[in-house]
Amino acid sequence: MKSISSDAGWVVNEAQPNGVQLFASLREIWQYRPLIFELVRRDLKVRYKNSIGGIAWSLFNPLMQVFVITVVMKFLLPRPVENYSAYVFGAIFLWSLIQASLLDGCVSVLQNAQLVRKIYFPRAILPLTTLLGSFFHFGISFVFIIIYLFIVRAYPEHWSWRFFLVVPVIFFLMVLCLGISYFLAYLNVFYEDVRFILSAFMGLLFYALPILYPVEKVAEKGLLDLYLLNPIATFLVMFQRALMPPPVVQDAFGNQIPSVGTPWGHFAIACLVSTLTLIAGFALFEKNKWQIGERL
Amino acid sequence: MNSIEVENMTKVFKVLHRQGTMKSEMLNLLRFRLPRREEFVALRDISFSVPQGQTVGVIGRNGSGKSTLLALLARIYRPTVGRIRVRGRIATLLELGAGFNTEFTGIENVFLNGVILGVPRDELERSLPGIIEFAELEEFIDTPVKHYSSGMITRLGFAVAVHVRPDVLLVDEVLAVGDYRFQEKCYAKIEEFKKQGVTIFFVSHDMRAIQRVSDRVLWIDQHVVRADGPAQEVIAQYNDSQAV
Repeated sequence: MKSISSDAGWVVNEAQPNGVQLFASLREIWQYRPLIFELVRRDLKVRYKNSIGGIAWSLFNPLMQVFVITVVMKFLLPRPVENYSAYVFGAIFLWSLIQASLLDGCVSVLQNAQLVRKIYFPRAILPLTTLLGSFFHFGISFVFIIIYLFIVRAYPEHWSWRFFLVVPVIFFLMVLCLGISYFLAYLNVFYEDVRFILSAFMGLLFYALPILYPVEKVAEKGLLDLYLLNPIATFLVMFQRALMPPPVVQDAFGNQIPSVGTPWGHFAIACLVSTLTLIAGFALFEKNKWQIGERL
Repeated sequence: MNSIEVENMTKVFKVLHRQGTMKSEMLNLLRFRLPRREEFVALRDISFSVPQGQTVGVIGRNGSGKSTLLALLARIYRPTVGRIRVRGRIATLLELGAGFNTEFTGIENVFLNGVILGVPRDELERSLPGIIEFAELEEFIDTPVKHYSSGMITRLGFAVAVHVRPDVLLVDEVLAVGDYRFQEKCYAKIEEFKKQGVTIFFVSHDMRAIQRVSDRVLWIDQHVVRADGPAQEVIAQYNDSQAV
């Protein structure tokens, strides 16, 4: 047995039979804050460089989606929902965040292969920096969500204390996305197919979330409990409820469909699932981090 | 006092021969055909230690394991057996311009690369004029790196790396690029480092370069240390073995 004091001041690189030390890894990631900061800065600069519109362009795509969905739903829903575009607006931007964090998180390690092969740093910061970049971008979009709500006069009338629920909802959504990203980034190093499967899956996920339709339509069919087992769906409903009161949805005969309140119970479960996902994803990534470096 | 200690270190790579797509691997699993794994010993039972301030040149033929050794010292890989200990701040020059983003300007890349090498931003801000001067890029420092020539990128990369103020500098065959004058400048910088007591680990195929800077030479052949001793002696042995 070697004493710990003999390693003081040394950087040790040794074969470790005694498994993963998650807390040591976390401490190291914390020490690498300046690099995390710099890499996020790099990602954001790359994103907004070389285009005059910069941020404006990145808002253009979600805006078009909101417009199309709102117009299409005017025809598909039997009765118009008041302020429907306001509901869609928030949901679309949150969806953009989910999509960006998972798709970018998946390729985060592979894209930085050049760095990983040449320089030592805790590899686990790569999915994290990618996530922080997406989050920063969402922060900008969020300002636009608020402005839009004022424009369509949903605010200040519908504003309530629930608005502050946005903070825990986004936090746990990010926890979940980071956890999934660790799984995906690890797998994607070995099989690049993962990325293509993921983008196909994202196409499906879009329809499993209350973006195109109000969640009340799901509740009407009695499927709400099942539907909200998907933590992302729960987070999305929570986000919508935080911004606005439940929409008034009517069926074809003009009768109001019972509205879905804030799903507290499902939210608690979703937070728990997210935390566990992050722990498991991080542990898997850490366990295989050396293998990742050798395979790139 | 030692700066680098390597104890009974062996590195084995697992080479997957059937590296297909996920689909083909799934199909193979269904046919009970497991991917063929072959083990490749890149370095076998290496032990040595380097006192602080010594400059060690590493020589050997292609594929003998020199670069793997450097990558292990830099903690890119983990040893399969044994351990490596390095004291202090390590700067690696395994490839100049690793971590450069070609869309960014020279200055932006100095900060990006410097932070990647572990230097705080404020320290970089202080050494920025020195870096630009060393790289001789005053005119182009605000130009995106994609418009740089390969020599300019090399210069900027080396300039950043030497301003990291490392305790241990790992250099892999990077001085071969750049024109004569810049090479001389790099050697002068290495001499300066030697005087300051920086430990240098230097991999090259250029015997003249090795002879010029090294106090000691490590000859790696067939994945083991074949000779380890004063620069002149080991280089002579190596040259004898090559002259067939």
